Amino acid sequence: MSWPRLWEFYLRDSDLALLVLGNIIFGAAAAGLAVVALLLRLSNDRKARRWGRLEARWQPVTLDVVIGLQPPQTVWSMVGPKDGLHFVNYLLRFAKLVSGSERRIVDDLAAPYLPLVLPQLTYRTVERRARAVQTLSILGSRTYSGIILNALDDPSPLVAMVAARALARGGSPEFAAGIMGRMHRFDQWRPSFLASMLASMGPAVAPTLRSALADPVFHPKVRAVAADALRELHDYLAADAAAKVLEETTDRGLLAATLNLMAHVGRAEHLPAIRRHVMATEPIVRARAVAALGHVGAEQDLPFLVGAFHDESAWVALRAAEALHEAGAQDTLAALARADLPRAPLARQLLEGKPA
Amino acid sequence: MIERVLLGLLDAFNALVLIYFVVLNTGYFITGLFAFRSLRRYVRRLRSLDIEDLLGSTGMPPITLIAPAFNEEATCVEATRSLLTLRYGDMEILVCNDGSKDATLERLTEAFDLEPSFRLPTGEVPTAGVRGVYRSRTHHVLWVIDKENGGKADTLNAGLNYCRTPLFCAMDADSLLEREALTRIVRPFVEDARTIAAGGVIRIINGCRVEEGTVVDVRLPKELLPRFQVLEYLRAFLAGRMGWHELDSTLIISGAFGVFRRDLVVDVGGYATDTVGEDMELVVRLHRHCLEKKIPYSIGFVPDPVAWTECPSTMKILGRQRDRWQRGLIETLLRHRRMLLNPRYGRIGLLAYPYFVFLEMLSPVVEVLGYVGFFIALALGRVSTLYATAFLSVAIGLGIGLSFTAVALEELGFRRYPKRADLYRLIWLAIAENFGYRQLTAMWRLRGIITVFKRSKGWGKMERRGFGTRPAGEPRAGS
Repeated sequence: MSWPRLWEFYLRDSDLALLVLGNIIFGAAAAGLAVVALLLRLSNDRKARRWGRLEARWQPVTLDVVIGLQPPQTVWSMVGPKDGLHFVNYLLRFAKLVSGSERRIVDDLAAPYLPLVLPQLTYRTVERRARAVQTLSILGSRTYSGIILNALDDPSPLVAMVAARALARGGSPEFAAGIMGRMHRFDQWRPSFLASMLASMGPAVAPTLRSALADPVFHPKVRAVAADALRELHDYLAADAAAKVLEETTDRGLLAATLNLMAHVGRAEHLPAIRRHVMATEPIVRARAVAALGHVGAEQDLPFLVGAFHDESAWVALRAAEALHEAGAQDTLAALARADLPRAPLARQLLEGKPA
Repeated sequence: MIERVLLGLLDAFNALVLIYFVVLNTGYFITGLFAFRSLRRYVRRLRSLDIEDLLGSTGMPPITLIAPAFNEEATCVEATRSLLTLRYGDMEILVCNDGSKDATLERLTEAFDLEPSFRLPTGEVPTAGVRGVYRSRTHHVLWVIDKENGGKADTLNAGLNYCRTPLFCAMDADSLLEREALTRIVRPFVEDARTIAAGGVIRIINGCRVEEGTVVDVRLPKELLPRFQVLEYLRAFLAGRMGWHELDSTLIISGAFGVFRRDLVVDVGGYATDTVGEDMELVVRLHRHCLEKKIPYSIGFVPDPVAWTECPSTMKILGRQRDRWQRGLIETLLRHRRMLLNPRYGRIGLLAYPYFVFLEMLSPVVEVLGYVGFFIALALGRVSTLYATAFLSVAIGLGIGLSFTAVALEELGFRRYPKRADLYRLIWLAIAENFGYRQLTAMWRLRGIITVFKRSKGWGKMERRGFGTRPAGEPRAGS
């Protein structure tokens, strides 16, 4: 059957013609997808080859520049007019391999090309703005700190987080207040992660964190993050503020974080504040209070700890066993180990010097 | 007269099958479109947050890997070694031996110098009896829980009872996780404190080269049956789950690799032991629990953390696996049927659940009966050119298009098969699977529907060949 006759055959039935047309369109779309996959592969392979060639040329010269054998102009002269952004991406990866003065040379190498990144800060795509902030913070933190600080107020919490982490990474305490003031923007993020970010700024940030912990104006979640960060910093000066929090707050998360802080930095005078939570209704608060007693407590607290060893919550019992071990109460542990109790093996294990 | 009625019914049935196929494939296509959008955004997001930066953070949540093992003597040592090489700050590994009849426990004891130990259970989910707890003298994060046989769900529950971290990762003892897989899969928990569960991608290890518990060369399997499964997995994970993730309606997290919030899973009673689809059932129950209690939550899918697993390479075992999967799906959907079209459950009840009931659960029935009806009509001379064209285009043409979508998504996102020849093969497989393989899987799934009422449980026998691994630098046999 010739093509015109075949076409005539199909056109006799309008439904069939429509269906055939639909099939042709769909078939073309399906074939298009296969072609897209192939083209993506070809294009990516081509890009990878081209970038591989460029980087193979740049790398030895970059190394020479970084160790001072050649001036930066040598490598700049090798960067084509359209390869500026790719050079920045290359330096971004290179920067992770070096530190100290060599790292600063990498920043200097990137400096003439970083303005190419600036337009990306106004892109509508959130992830691209975030990437731009990330790039500027890694390769241009000295020059672009103002821009990074402004990014804390970007409409997207992702961009704000990238900026906050960049500022925290810089370790400059002057940014701490700015970050703390915007912590409400990060309420979706995991508190331990936020605490770790703040603690990474170092001990100089502790006064800001202490103020936040003590200030009821801050949301309890933010105060709990401050407590966790202070714990990571082992900030002994935070103990008084923490004791005050333990006397005032009823928020479970804040109590747990503050008791955890107290376990690391508390002193004998803070024991009354800790003891009031040993009988708390929430197991996590009881467990943290018991752990804090183990670190800070006196001999008179042993009965509390033995009681906690029999607590209905396994978590509290576990902390109590560790606390008894921590407090050096070997005789008490030995008595618990000898007793006919389901938890006796726990005491035995600690006595044998094995972890609970 | 009766003949005319029967023929009329046959025509009506065939027309319904046609409509069903169109709706089914349109559903797949729409999720594919959402997946495309989601994947593009995810790839960009990956570039804005540095994984090394996350690895260096002390704020990553502690996690326990629970690896249930049943008769895994061939792979358990290597799989556990692979877990020990994972790059993650604060983790514990609990290998739970479900009363294996082979030498699983002995192999682990020998390889990791296990000694009897005590570990206080922190959960009270009922399980079969625990015979002993062992701790490795050489790797302090590794524990082995030896228990009576109780099935996979029961074994996961035993691990859950001994878990002490806020998150746990449920996986198969014979899967290999990529070194950064945990860091990647935990990201949603870090970035969104509402996250209660997240699933990763399962990829097929058959054909890949493994060295010291790590996949070092990704290739398509040599045999045809596993190759088809590679394509199926790409379609299921990149097009399907990614799409449902974008719609915030993830109903399935693979039992081979998923991370959950421990406290919530304990609250809902752990894994259900009376279903073979305990992984999906748990996710649906978590949705239901959070929606009923009005707990803000999120359940997601992350497309780049990978667990490599060996897939069946014989028809018999593959058939059993698909039968089991289908039974798990049906049991879960029937158990929580209250959610179906119930506005109380939001988009889960009104969108995801109906999709899984009407399109995923029933599709094997309609597909198999559709083929039967088509061939009967063909034999009776009642198939018009119109119907034949329409049937073949929706039954085969749309299927090819959907598989191409999955291949395109893989190219867009991850390009895990670096050899161009493998890409050509995937495209060819997308066409070839429609002539026999797809019909076979429909048959196996139909068998699952039929046997669902038998309520048989168990792990499903999977004859492992091992990962064909070799230590770095050591030549492979025959090379």
